[in-house]
Order: sequence, then structure tokens, then C-alpha cells
Amino acid sequence: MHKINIEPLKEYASYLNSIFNQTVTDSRVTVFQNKNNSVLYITRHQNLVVLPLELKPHRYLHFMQRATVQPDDKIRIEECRYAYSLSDDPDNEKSWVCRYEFSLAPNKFHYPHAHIHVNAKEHDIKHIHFPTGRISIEQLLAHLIIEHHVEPRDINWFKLLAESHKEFIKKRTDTELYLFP
Amino acid sequence: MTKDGDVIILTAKEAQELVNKECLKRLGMNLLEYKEKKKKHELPKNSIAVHDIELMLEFA
Repeated sequence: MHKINIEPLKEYASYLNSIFNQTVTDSRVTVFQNKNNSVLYITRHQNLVVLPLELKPHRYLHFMQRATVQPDDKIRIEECRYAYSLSDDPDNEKSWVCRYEFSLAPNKFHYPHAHIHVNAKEHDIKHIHFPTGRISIEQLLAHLIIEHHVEPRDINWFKLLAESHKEFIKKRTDTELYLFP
Repeated sequence: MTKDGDVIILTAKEAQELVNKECLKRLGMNLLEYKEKKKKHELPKNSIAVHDIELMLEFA
């Protein structure tokens, strides 16, 4: 059985919820660990039912991360999926606006490791994987506040997110992996 | 299930329950059915639900 050091998990959950709760939502995410392996699954839930983060006014951020605990107890984000939507139903095809997805693992179709989807009307492009650099959750939250008019909870939201984004830049390790495409 | 603040440690069975609930809610099939359909390449194409559940599978 994998020995669990819960402190880094608590620290990571606390970091994420601090960012969310200070800037755009009351919702909190939970870091789940399967005690039989070192894989983490991070999302919001109620009674083990996955839920989106609730934004104002009446918007939703569907948030999921899969991570692993490294031998040195560091948490490595292996994959993340964030979808900004007007609906709490993640499968409502008419309501999602944009999605950002990142995966460290290569895929058989050679889609970009980090990409965005845009639910555009004029062209049938919502399944296209537009390549992007890896973005932080802080960048996404700033984008939602600035361009989608999600209500910030704190007048200092920009500074809070900018400072937290710096930590993301310092801690990320994927730049050493030369991910392509 | 062990809860400590915003961290929950699940047994393997509880982890499967989490994924199973997501399969039922999103695709109307349980985790076992999902795995069987995956083997037979019968899962919906370009489905956000399938992508999301794939992310959960290694966890379960």
C-alpha cells in the first residue's frame, strides 16, 4: 500500500481554495487520493458526485485535475480540464464557452499537449484543438473576470492572481520535458 | 473514507464509487459497462463526458 503523506495534499488543496475563494467563488475543491495508489483527483463534489465551481452571475467553471504524488512528496499535475460554461451540466453542448485542456502524456492523434476549444458559431471548430502554452488556473480566472465579466470577490483580485501565478511559474516542471506538439 | 480538511483519502472501492457515479450521471451507464463499451470501441465519439471520465480512470 502506498504510504500517504497528507501534508502536501492539504497544502495544495488550501492553495487552490484560497485562490478560488478570494477571487471568484465560494465553492471549494477537494483533493481525493485513492489510498491504493499515488494518483490524485481534484474537483468539487458533494457526496462523491462531481460538481462545477459556481461563479457569479450564474456561470460555472467545470474543474478537474489529475495529479500524482512524486517520491519526494511533490505533486505533479498530469492532466487538467477546465471548462467555462453557462450551465452546471458539463455535457450541455450549447452552453460551454471555452475549454482548456492540458496533458503531460502524448496522445495518439498528436493533438497539442496544451490546447483550447472554443464553442464558436460561424465555423464548426469546437472540436479543434487550438495549441496554446500551458496556462495557470490564475490566468484562466483573470480571463473570466476581465472578458467574461465573472464577478470578482475581492478588489485586489488582480494582484492576488498575479502573485499566485508567479508561484506556478516557479514550481512548474513541464518546461524540462519539451512537450510537442 | 478519511477526511482531513479539503483532502479525502478513499479506499479503492470508494474511488470506484466516485467514478461510477460520474459514469451514471453523464452517460447513463455504470463503470463496468463503460469499461466494456470502451473495449468494444462503442463509446460516444467527441464526447466531453468520455474525455472527463478517461481522466478519472487511472484514479479508480
